[in-house]
Amino acid sequence: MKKLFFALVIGLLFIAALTTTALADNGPHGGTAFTSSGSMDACASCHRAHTAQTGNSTLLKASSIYGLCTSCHDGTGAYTDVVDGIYNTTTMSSATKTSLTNSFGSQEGLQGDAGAPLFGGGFVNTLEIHTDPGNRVYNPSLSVSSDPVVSGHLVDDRTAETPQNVWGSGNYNTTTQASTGGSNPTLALTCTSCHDPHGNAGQNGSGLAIPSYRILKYTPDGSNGYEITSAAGAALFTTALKPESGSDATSVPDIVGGSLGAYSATVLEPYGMGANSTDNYTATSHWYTLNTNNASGFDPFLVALYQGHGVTGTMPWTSVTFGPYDPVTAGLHGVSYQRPATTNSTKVYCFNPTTGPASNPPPTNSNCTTANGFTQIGASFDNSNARLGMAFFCSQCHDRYLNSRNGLTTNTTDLLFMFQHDSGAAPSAGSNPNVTCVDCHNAHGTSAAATTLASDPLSGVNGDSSILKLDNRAMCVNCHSGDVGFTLK
Amino acid sequence: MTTSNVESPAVPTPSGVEEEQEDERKRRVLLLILLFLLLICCCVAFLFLRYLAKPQPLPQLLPVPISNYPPAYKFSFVGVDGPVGVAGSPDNQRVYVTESEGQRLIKIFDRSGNLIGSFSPFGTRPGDRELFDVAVDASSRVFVVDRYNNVIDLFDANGDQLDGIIAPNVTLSKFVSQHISGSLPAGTKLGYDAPNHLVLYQLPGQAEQKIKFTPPDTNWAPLGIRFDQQGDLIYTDITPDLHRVHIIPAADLNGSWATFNPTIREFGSQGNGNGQISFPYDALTDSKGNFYVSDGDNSRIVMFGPNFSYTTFFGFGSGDDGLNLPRGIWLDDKEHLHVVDAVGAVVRVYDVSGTAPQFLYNFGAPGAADGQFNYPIDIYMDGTGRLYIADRDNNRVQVWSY
Repeated sequence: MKKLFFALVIGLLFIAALTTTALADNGPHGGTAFTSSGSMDACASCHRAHTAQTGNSTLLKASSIYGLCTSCHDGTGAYTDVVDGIYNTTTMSSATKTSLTNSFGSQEGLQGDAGAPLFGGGFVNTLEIHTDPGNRVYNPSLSVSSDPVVSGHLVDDRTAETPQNVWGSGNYNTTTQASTGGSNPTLALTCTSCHDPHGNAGQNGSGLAIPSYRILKYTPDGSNGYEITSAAGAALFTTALKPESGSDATSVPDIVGGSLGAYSATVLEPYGMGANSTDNYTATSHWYTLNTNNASGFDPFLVALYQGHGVTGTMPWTSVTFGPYDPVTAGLHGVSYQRPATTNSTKVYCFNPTTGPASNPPPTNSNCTTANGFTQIGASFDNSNARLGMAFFCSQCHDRYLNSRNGLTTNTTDLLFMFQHDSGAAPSAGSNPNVTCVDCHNAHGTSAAATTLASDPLSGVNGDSSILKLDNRAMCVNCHSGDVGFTLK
Repeated sequence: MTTSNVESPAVPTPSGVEEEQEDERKRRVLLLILLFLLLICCCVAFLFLRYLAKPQPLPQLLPVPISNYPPAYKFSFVGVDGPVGVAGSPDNQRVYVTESEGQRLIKIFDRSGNLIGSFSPFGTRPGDRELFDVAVDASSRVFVVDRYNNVIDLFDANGDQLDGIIAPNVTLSKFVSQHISGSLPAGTKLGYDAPNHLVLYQLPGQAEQKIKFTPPDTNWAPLGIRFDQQGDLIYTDITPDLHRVHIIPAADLNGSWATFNPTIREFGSQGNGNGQISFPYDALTDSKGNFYVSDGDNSRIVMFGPNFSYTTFFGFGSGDDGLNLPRGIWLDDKEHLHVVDAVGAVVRVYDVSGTAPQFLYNFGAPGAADGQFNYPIDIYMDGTGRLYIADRDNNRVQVWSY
């Protein structure tokens, strides 16, 4: 009996041993040097080929992205603590800090210092000054406090991904004078919606993957591609935001083609979020000029275009039909595409490199050779123009917010967002620089609160500060105290 | 005359008596052996029937622990938010758990998982602290690492804050004593507000005071803490470019903290080469004086000799013995090193008693069911062989037993 018993137990243990899963392991992050000599062990720090806990092409060995990220970024395995929104220790080189200081100003240049807040805040707590209107950002000489986040991007997918309203996006309903359906589009976010943990989220001028600021992606997941572009200068911001409905053939040209007034179109959220089925182009042509002189914004745009709309078309100057999207073809011919008149409209997208193969030269249309920089966070984002890059990044989801200083005086005809504060433009020197999204808002979350009057009018939630850096409207006073006659004490 | 041939009664000869006694003794011995065998058979039959009725791991069936078999899941402590540290009192009656979410408290449980109380560093709110590892010394004092404030807080067994180490050789009481130029009376409360570089103190019956504190040594970022058999405090340090392990002698910990000036030993350097470590989470020592460091970002355990010289590393690679993200570690009295693999969601056990570390087994699996983990981080074994494992994203502390 005894032998039988032990034989039975040993047999069971043997069976148990056989059924134990085999795991491949090693190394955090990595992935920036996929060379023959480089270690590929880093892949296994997050992924499993056969024993993954998540699907959708991620094959993560953890059950949630947020949980996996915060297994290190909670202060135990990385210097950037996104849970509490602080740098646990000094993380940046002096050169990086210098360039950030040049872009953001001296106080923002403190980011990366030990104990300083993360520029984007935290997801559970943030270190905020809250009310000091003279200092919108961290200043170690001031008393600061860390408090629970009351407004932020919800990215914790450990239990379930929760769709959130994307304020400042979607179509405008002229009847209800609100966003379509009374609500904005929704997105479920997680860390990798905006960040690429492989560190190759950006693209350089040749379309090659490069590291980007805070490993931010070229375009946020779910934004469906580029909606907003900009000139190298502020030229395109002489007009206001693209209307969400109605014709821009007359007085309100599209922001993208704003400088190309000879063309017009009726635009119903052509490739933005949540309105793919409402394309209704009626004008003869309308030029979208992107990314002059390089292709860095080129392929992703087409990808989004194709994925969002299934666009096929014909190159106007060669009559070569394109689509479904073929990056090789696009790269070779990549200049201009015309939407076929198979629906009720014709649409021309003009991509405008100045060079091309001799057999298929770029178009000669002057409108397509107009210099028009396309600044994206991954393409040309660097620490010296970080503010602008962040504005465009944010605007790919919150696409109705981006505006130039002229938006203060120019009616967008978007009844909901008719006049707006400057929210993104080329960086300018001087005492009155343009402001961008991240000057006032934390990307991750904020502990700053808003009381009844200052609560976000869109969400209607009392206390929701819309991820502002300071309580109530202290952000306004931060710059405009003199304008409104306040005396700061 | 007749001769009577009456036989006299048989008188046992001395040898016959001995034979009878011997036979009796043999019978008794045989009976005892039979009874013993019967008892064993009954025990085996009982265990076998019990196993058939409810199959359980061998260690739980047998009355004595058997080496080289994984422990069995017993039950869980609940009512904790994101537990990241766990330690027990010397009498095995209390378990201390640090929370990373919610109110971020240090919670005290009894052995059954009943909440006894909770506490937190003096003068802090939940957002002002980021508690991680916890350890209890032989005097039942509770040491807690606050990553946010870069401090090792010291509490008594009931959670009253006694002091804190805020720099390698600076304690709260030492700094305040120097500031007020005198000793601190009993009952003085001490705290630290690192973001604002303030030391807080409150003398009995007086209002709270704040003193500006500029750390004399910024190379100070404690993360994991353990006590060795002598009562020395071993802690890991993740100061950028200076990841290493420090040891504070027990004598300094048991002396006056108002004159704290320990002779700290240290070893290790940052990197991924031999003898280097990256984001070490925990370090401890065995009976021979060897050190084992949980080398988090290099996915391995690095071993150092008693003289701090690099010996080897293990746990790196694919397979059952390969570590993903090693965090808390614990060495039992059989010199079996238990390593919590946070991302692998298992505990991997290595035998380090021999000349070379040998992988033994894993226990646990990813998930939320009993015995499954979701980002386990820390581990503690009490004197009864119970294992406590902080199961962060399942918001519980699991209890396993050999």
